[in-house]
Amino acid sequence: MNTVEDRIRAAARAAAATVADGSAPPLSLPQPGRRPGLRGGGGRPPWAVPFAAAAAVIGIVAASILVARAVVPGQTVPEIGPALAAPLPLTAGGLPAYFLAIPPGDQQAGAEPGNQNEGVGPIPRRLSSHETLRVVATDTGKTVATATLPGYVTEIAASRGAFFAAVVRSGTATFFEIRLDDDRTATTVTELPIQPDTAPLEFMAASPNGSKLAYSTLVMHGAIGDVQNLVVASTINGSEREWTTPASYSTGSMGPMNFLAGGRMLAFSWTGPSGTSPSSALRLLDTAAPGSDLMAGRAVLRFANQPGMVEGYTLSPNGRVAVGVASGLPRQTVVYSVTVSAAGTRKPTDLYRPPERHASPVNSCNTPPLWVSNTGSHVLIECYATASADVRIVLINHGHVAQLPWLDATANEVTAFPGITSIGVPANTGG
Amino acid sequence: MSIQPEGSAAALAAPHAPAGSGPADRGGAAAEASVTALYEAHALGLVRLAYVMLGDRAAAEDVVQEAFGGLYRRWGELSDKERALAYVRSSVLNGCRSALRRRRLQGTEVTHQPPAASAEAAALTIEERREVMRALRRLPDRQREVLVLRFYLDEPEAEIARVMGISPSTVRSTAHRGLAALGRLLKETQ
Repeated sequence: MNTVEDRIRAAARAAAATVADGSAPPLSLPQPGRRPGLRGGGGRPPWAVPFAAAAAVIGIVAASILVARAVVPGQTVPEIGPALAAPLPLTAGGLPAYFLAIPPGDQQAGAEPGNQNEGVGPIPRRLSSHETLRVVATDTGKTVATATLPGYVTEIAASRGAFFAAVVRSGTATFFEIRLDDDRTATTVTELPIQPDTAPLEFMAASPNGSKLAYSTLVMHGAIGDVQNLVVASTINGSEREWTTPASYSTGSMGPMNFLAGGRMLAFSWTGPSGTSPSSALRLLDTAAPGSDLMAGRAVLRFANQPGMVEGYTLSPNGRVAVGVASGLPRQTVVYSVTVSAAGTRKPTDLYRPPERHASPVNSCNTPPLWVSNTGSHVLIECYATASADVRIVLINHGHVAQLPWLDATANEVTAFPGITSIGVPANTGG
Repeated sequence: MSIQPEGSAAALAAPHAPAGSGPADRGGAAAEASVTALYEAHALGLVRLAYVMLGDRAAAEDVVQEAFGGLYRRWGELSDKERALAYVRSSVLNGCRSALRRRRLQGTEVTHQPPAASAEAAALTIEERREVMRALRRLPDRQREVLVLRFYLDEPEAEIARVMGISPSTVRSTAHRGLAALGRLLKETQ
């Protein structure tokens, strides 16, 4: 036995074996009407209240996003060097014309690059030295170009004009830009001057113009355990800043993140301990403000700690709309958004609520959405087909679901879509 | 479908039944019978799952009891009764997540007790098993949960995705990240 998976199996099953057959205690159900906090007729069940509260806060978050964008510029990661990639084109329908995908065959568990001396077991030869990603045309689902990276790709991201990959070799992550050539048939892969990192890398985002990469890692901090770390680095000269969580927040974890238009504000999901602060929320961090406290920003959208509740969101390219998926009883999925107008925030808008079973081609959707238009009217998202439970790629357009069967194959792949669109308010430049 | 007050007889009735449309006791009894049957069929496995996550038998049993209690309270609102087990699993995972966080805040540590004898026990030493379980609990919640569901329960990716409310592609990428992170953590202790 020399693979991590084998050790997990052995240890977990050995642990579980200590729970003897027939030893589970009898079920003790709560008595109706005696649960603390229950109200008599006319009240709403507790599970609905957190969602309503979250939905109500969505209106506030959009305004907060607007305010945050008006902050006076401060310290920034220097931007000098070669020109950044021009924005990629759009389809006739206003979606990004191309996206990056990691083929599923290359994502085998336990396939960490390295060598057998590191104790991770035999490594597929094809992943020990390189991995090939594909650039896919949104309109056809076909591969137009490939990009070969010199190691195992652990995370990908996209700016308006380029793609980025974090590659792990011998336990160290390095970073690469993948630029689609002008003829759209080949790519140029460039290693970025970002300091390699040995901490486990979890999520990554690129600023709209590709001048910065943000990535999160888990770092051990002595006796207090692991804490979340955030690095924002220049893709041009490698200069970077780092944030970390205070010891008191070591029980929380970061989730998916996005740069807002302008490339200064970073929005990220934060999953915090139930019933304590900071609780699960969408948080905004000013990457130009001084300091290194990851929690220095503000929580702008509070999630509720319910089974299957909101874990992520996707921001529109202009940062004005947050689209999330909330799942909970009695509905399996609600795709919602918040749109901001010049007059202020509006109530959250349900983009899609699956109707009763068998009345819709899809019945539940995964988080976070793959891509969102500037107004939130169009959302590209993975959903489960009603009849077969297969995953489908669908476009939610003003509440109507359109299947994109030519993209269904990518439902098995990790993908990165550029934050560009022609739908709704034009995306801001800069970043 | 209107939302009924939790705990009321109408809430425990079958979906779409208007409030007061049937004998309250019949609705409550049906929910209790269904939830109890589900518990009897799956409690042991769920306690074992929670114990793998937490390393504490009492805490594991509490998490499972609370998960079924939550299911019972919401039984009338469950649109798809066939998804009840997935819902309970999600509740167990969330309960374990909360318990682990409370434990971290309190600064307490639990050491898995080795089994008296089992085929699995022969594959690793006692200390090696403890080391793996400690490292598992140091992982981010999502990575830990994916790894346990995948390599302890041998659940397929689609089911893991449903239980955790994430996409199958995220399951795969999270599993890979988790294994890489766990591998590094285990190397640190060598």
